[in-house]
Amino acid sequence: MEFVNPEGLRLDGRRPMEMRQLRAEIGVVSKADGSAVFEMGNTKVIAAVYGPREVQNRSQQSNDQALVRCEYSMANFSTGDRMRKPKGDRRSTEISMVIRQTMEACILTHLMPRSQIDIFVQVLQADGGTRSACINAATLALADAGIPMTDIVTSCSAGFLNGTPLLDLNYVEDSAGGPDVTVGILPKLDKVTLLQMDSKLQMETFETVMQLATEGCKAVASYIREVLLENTKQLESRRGV
Amino acid sequence: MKEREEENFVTPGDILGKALELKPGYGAYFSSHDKTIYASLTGFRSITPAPIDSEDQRATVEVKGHKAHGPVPEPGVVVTARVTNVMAKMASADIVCVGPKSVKEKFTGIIRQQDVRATEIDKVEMHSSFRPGDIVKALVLSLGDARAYYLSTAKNELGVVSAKSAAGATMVPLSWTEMQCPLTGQTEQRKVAKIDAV
Amino acid sequence: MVGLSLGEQTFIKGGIDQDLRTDGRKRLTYRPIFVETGIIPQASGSARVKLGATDVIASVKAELGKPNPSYPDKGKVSIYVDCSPTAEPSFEGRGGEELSTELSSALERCLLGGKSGAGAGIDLSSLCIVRGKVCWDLYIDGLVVSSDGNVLDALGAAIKAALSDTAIPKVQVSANAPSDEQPEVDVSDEEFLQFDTSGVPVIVTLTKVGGHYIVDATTEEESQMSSAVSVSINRLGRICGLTKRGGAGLHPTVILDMISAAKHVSEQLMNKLDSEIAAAEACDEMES
Repeated sequence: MEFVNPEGLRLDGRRPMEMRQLRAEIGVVSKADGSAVFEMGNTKVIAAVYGPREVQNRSQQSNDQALVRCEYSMANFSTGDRMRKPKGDRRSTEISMVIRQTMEACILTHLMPRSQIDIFVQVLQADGGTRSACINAATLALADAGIPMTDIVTSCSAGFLNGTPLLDLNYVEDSAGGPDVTVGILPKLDKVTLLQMDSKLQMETFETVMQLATEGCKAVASYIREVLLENTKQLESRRGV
Repeated sequence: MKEREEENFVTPGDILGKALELKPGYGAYFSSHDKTIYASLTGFRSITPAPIDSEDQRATVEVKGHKAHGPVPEPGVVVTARVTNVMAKMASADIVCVGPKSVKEKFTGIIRQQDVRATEIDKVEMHSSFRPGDIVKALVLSLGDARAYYLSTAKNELGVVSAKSAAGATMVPLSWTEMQCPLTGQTEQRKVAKIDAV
Repeated sequence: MVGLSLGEQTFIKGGIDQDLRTDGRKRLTYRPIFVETGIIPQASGSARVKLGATDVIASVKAELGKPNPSYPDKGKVSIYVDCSPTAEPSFEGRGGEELSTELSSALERCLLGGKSGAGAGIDLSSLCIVRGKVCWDLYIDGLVVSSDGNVLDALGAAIKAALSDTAIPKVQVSANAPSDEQPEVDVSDEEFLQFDTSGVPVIVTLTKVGGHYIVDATTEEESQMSSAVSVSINRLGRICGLTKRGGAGLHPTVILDMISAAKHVSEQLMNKLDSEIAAAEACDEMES
């Protein structure tokens, strides 16, 4: 199947290096300490952060740092074919762990000992790149909750089909069987915190694809920064500052 | 106003300055491998010069966000707690407010016999100091053990601030050991806090 | 939740007694309702309803299936509600299952009528394609994103809006198939039939606090309730389902009184909801 036509356009009309439309909104769940919606094209994810609060399970409590927990769930209607079991399956457990490890690395946990931070991610629509959208949404929700972090974490995926590196794969391109590289970075500190890949790639091509994904992450980072600035300005104006 | 906003708006990971010139305050942290101060919160940066008589003359840089995360009890902070259980050697209480802010979810604290008051600490009777349902002001001593924070009421301004008598009315403080019920006139024993008259 | 202090509880109860609730509403006033339709493009119909801080999403998916052998000329509808942990930290893992099952069965009771499908708010015979062989299976999925009380009413409204947004594809049945085999059906991509929702009821929950009952309780008010009655009423003013929750006993006259109050409120709610849905659909058409 042809994923990049001779004119260089992909199935949804994008160029190979073009990301999907990004849209984010902060503060959608008023009851949570922090929350955000993040959309990458048709993939839509809500993240809610509760914490820091008292640890529920005493045995897991740590005396010198906060406990970070994460749960990833997909809505029944999020994929094309209706899913039977929204949570508890192995993919959800794996992604929950991945998100938890990625966010834990950037939260200053030693500032909040003996407490717990819960990150809940709910996928409303899945169209490829759900892992990345979840991490981006979680970052915004943590920033909204005022939890101290070393840097914001942004994530993006890239693949390689028809001999071309493609940025931000959607579901059709992802299920084509080609490689899918997901990268998560700390943009200001210029460090990689998450790197996952499936299928196989040549070494040199891998470097190109990873570089492309990293560029995508940086683009997401500048968008997130704009959204945070806009949100802070709105809040300040509402307070009458 | 506009320039102030754009220039001083920072997100986590933004560089605030070098460690030689600035000290990290609230919302900023120090990274040892490149000796720089970075922001850890989203908000506006503000610099406060150091007090003249301190040895460290570096200014403090802080980041003030619109929302601080829910308060967590820390040693040295005065908290408001509701007593839940009184036992022979200690009383347990639910911490409801940290300083002036109320918490999102309660924390558990205990007041040990030796921390109730400053004098004659071995002769303290827990039941004459607190009863379940009393609201007390206490100081957080330490993070305590795995189960609860350690609290102390061993100061004049700490102790019971509000209590209900056996008859159900809010009692009036008489001295630092007694409170009186306005309905029945009966006095009950508590370790009362000395609140400055408004 | 830290739990309400005695003072706060008295404040809530006293306010309700005086017909002035903590957010300024009267006892029988709903919070502002916000409806958005067509938010899930890959579903046959979807809607999002915000009732104050309560936020729920409903989606309807129509798939081809075989009818139940006991009711060969009726389609099938199943309702499933999921409580997302974003609404309450306690919903994580299996914590929200109890509430999910309670909401799912309450909705099924209100919308689907008896076992035979008689008296259902949704007309099941309109879902039949070939008697005994092929019918439409409607899967209605609800998701509670944020919860601040009165989730059942919000879900009822969201399902009504999602059903109004549902477009079932037209089906061509190949006429020359042998009668004992599965007939071939050709699902059209172009032509759609709008689902008929005039018979779909709305759900009104009345919560009794102290000596009075209120409509659309927030979480704080629900924590003070002694009992609650949820009534589902359709446009003609007929009661389609009734659920009573809460342990406190209610005198039969009180229940009848609550039902008539629910009927009165439901007219306003139905009109408000219809106008919001129409506005949402018009908005939707303008965008697409």
